[in-house]
Amino acid sequence: MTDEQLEKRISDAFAGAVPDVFDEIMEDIQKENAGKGEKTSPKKRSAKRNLIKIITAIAIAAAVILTVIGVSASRADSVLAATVSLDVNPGIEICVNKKHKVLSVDPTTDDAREIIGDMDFKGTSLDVTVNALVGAMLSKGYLSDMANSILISVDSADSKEAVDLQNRLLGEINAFLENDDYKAAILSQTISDNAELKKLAEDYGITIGKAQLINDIISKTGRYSFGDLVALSINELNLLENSGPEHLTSIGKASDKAYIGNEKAKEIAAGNAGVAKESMSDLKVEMEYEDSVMIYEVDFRAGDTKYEYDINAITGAIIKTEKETNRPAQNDSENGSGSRSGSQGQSGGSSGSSGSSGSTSSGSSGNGQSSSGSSGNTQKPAQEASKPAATQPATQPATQPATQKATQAPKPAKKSPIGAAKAKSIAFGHAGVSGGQVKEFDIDLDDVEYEISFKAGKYEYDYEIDAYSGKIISVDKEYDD
Amino acid sequence: MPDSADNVMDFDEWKEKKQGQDDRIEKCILKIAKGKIDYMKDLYDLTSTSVYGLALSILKNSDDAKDILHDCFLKIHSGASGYSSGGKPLAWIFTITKNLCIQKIREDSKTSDIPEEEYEAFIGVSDDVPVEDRMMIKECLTVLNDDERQIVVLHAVSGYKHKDIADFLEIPLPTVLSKYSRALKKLKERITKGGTYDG
Repeated sequence: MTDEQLEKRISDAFAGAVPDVFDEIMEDIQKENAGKGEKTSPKKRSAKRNLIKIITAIAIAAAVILTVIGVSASRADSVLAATVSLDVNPGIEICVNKKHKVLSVDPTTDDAREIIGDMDFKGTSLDVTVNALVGAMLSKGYLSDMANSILISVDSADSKEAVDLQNRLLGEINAFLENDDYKAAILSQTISDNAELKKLAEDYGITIGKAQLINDIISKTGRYSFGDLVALSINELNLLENSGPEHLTSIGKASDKAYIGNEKAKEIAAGNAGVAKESMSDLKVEMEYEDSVMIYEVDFRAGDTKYEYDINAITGAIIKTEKETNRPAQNDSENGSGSRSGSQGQSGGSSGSSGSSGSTSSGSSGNGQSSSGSSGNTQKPAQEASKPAATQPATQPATQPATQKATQAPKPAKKSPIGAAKAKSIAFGHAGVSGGQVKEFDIDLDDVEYEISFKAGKYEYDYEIDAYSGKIISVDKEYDD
Repeated sequence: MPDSADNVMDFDEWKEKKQGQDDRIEKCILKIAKGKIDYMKDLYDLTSTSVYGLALSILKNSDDAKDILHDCFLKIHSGASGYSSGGKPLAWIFTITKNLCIQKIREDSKTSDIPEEEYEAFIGVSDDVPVEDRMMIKECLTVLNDDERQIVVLHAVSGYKHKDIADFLEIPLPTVLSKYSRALKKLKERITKGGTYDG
């Protein structure tokens, strides 16, 4: 055999032998991101079983989803009456009979096996079982004061039974945790048992309750695809879920201790924008999940200018900023109508700016401001919007000076992406190349942006283009030999 | 466990593939540094065999090598921002791998003089691994000495150039070349003599 044949043989041998640990790796990364805090090394994970101690002395708020799936009532003791699912990130399904005695406990995710361990719950009461499992999750670190959200989902053909069970468990878990002076965030929802949800849940290895929660987040926010959110813990989902959908009620506040916190995010944004925190109006801080990173989205106005910041929720690094100088009229909180007379811009939802009528401020008359100064002057006449100036809508009063830029709506939700062909032409156009000159073209739709790379002439290009606005986010051009 | 058949490809394809991958690997690392962890999968597909191979060639124990594989990618993820683009992503990855191995050796304070029977035990760990692969790896681990083994794995499995191997192992290039050819010779002899598979 030739050397090369031997080399190939060796290469094949190792390729055939290499274990696939990718999933474990990504799991650990997710856990690290969620601030679990410990570096887990595969061989050294040892189970700590301190169940009894944990149950009686819970130090930490729990993040658990209880999904109770009821089934029509029946006589025999061993017949399934309801299913209760525990979800933190590990998912466990507990089947109970009419008397709420446990028939079986099944893991729906792999890490749940570790939690169940070799505990046998058959015949035990539901409450004891739930306590034991919650305790196990605590001792193994799946629940902590950095992840404290509980979701209880109830699904039952017998709706009365389901509601009863849900309320009972809600009350118990609440009391249970309050006992140790802990703030849990408890979400509860009713599930309509539908086949599509079930399939999704099975495909992804999560409980139906979690699947429904994910669906709700998606339809509410208009962002994310199902697969994006599957790996998130209930706590993270709770943070993204800002106000529950109709059938989701929420108690308590999801823990964001793993993250820098809303206040810090505000500070960072304010600091970068060079505005005082007090002059921030229409302030909105929301947690989002973007590019596989939990972020704070900080939106506010200061003076004429609208700001939008994306801040990494763990490190505090500013990921993205957007800035626009607006007509003050565009505030949502106002009776924002286009017909403004020149004297008064803003009715000032928060702080009245009535005093500013007639004051000039870099040529923009009638600019009300919610800053406490209310002097109507924009300290930053040079402020340019990061977006190119759009034409003024026709309803604008004539007194508005030309320097003002039209407001653009905040991130459009539920818009569809521009499409690969468009993105490609944007990239080529910018690079000044034609399709024929291009080699090794590669395009990837990565959630909110297109990633395009290609070679043309002596260069290699890498573009990132916003999938919705078509804006070029980044360009990389390298000499390619 | 990846199906061995998936990784076996047409010979010329394989040769070409080995040469073209540095760019893609580097791109993955840079993207990961920006937080785009989707690229972890690509990176894993591109380099997991190399990392595993190197670890196995150093530690000679498949369980340990598996741990290193896992920890290495965790480190790649957390340290990606420290990678400075220079066209040598494998060097960076291998350095991480090697350091983890050294750490492990210290922790376990195992010596690498392990008797033959134990090699069997290590390599026979997973039944998923096809027999001829196991045998091949075993030959590599037993017949070659430390330097030869690492050089062979780095070159054959990862496509690492001899010059880069010389830099990485801190051995002069001519030495690398001669050790390499001696190693191949040893292996060829074993294989053709062994008779368990075709020469």
